[in-house]
Amino acid sequence: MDRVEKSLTVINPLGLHARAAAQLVKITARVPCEVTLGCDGESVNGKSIMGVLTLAAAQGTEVQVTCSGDGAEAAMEQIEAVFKAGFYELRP
Amino acid sequence: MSRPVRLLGAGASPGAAIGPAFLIDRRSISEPREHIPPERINHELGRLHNAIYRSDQQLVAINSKLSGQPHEHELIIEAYRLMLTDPALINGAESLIRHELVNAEWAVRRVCRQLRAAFEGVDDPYFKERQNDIDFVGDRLVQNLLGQYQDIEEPPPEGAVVVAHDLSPADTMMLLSGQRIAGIVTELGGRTSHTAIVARALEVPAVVGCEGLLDHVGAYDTVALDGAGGQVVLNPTADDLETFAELRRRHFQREEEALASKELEARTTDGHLLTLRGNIELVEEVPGAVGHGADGVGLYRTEFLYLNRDDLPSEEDHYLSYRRLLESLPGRQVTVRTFDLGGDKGMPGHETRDEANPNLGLRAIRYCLAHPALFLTQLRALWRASVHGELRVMFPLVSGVGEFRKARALFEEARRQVVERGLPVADALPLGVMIETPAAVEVADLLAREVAFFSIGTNDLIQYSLAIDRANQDVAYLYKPLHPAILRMLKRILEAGRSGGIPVCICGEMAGDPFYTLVLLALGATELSMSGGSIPVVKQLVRSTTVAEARSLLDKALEHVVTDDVEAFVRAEMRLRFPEVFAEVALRPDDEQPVPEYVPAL
Repeated sequence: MDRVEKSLTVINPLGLHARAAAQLVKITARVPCEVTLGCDGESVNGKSIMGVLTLAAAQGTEVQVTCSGDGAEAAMEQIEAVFKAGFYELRP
Repeated sequence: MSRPVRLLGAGASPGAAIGPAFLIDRRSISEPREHIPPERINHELGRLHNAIYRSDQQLVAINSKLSGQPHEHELIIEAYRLMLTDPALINGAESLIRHELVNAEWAVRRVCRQLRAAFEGVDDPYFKERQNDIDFVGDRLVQNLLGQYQDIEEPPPEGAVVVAHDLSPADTMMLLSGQRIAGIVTELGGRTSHTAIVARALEVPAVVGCEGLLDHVGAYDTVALDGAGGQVVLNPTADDLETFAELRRRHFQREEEALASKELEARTTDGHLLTLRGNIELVEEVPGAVGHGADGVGLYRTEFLYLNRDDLPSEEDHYLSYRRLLESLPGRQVTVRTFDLGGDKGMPGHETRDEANPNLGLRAIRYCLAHPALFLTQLRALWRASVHGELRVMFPLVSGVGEFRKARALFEEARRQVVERGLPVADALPLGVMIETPAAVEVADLLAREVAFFSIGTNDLIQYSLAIDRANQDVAYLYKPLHPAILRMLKRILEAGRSGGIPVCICGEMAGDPFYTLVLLALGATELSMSGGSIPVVKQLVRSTTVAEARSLLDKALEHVVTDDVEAFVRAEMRLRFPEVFAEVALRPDDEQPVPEYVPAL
């Protein structure tokens, strides 16, 4: 079974707040594989916006992302892109 | 005919309204809780999914009606929709129905309580507040399960007054995006609550914090409200209706005049130009201030950033709000006052100390100098924002040159820290002081050599000069802006500014009170800063007078040596000279009229 793990950093100033979490979950909800987010020893379902919010991840937080199952590789690419784009909250 | 009920809340958005009550009562929706026989499991699962579907469709409907509203609102709705279809919510509720044999309403409540509990250990107040979003989603689901959801299928009719215990951001957006409602009254909330901010931004009259409202109001009762004074009358009498209709008519007229006068200069007929700026606390107030003709912001109070939270605002919080403020006023001057709080106000995360005389205690610039790390956070954010507009910065309650130099040293230190991080900053920022103590008045000439501008905070200046505590009812009557001592001080400060070659702005309540406009003009004022709503009337007065007329009024006023006589003379003269302006001011239910009594309904 495909399994990809990566540590991604929250770079947008407001952190993984509601709107940013919405941007992330819109992607994770669509991918076929399972997505898990972890930080500070906590681990949540990456397809659950409420789960993602309970991480309370501020700017600079390292989030351990795990994708496992079909299309894990492709899913990770998309997730990494949205982290790097600061959840589309960084101004040019 | 029902008896009128008079209530008093906080005026949250100016304007008067009369209309039928449209009641939204969502106080603790109680849901039936029952165990189900196993053969009903599929039925309950079906009800659950139906309710999710209906709730989602309602949010889609809200979203489509919100097109044209700020993008931010759409994103809030989007987050709600994702919560509705959150696997944690759906799987949790399904599992409770299947294994615990409970009905769908109960299952939704229980799973929401669990989801809420996951936020208990979170310290960050922003994330902790997401518990309210879970409640919002849970309420909507339960209401749909009960077939009770009303505000989407039946939006308020045009001209209705929405009456509610409290409104969620989504409610407010929905209400304001459809038919034009006449006004809003809520039991909860303050001037800075979401409802108040949105109502002001969209110019719908609103009163918040109106206690006891829902105990008295019935569906379709007539409601009259004044969003400036905070008065609310249920089942108004014919006299009330006339008063509120007149208030409304005058508000509209004033708004029209404001729009018409927005581009006009506040110049006397003999050519003396006054610059009128806005006093604001929230970025959301900028469009209103500019719409009323504010030439930039003369006083941005930063205390709001520290309120309604358990921790201190971060540098990023400061920076983002200053940047938004500056970007909303391109090419216009914006003056930010560093925070004016003290130990008695209970700074988040700092020990609250009881002071015998908080007004004479560790507050404003003194507090900042005693807590440099706290102060530097704000100063760094200001430097970072300096590249986004025409920023000026001023310190409150400075009493001498030494204090200013200490604050300036920290200001320069903050710049070095920002530059070290490689971030862009302006080469220099105009740095000024508030003149609000008698000592600062005495040394205004010395201060003028070191600062870029003065701003006169008349509220504190009057309080400190006349040695009165405004909050003390026994001496509050002594608070008189036209005390000859105050007038002499204002004159001296304005002269010190002129000979020092620096601008002076007057920004206390006195600046926005039309009774004092000619007096300030006569004293030599060139810049006034006031709440947006006061600008049109002050401008109208300036445009219909001359400096010579203003000076003769002040000279005659000062022939009276007793403050009350000066005050009475100025008020009488202003009413006489500008009857059309002051007839209207007198109608406003202000301190000259008793606060409406609370009459319980029978």
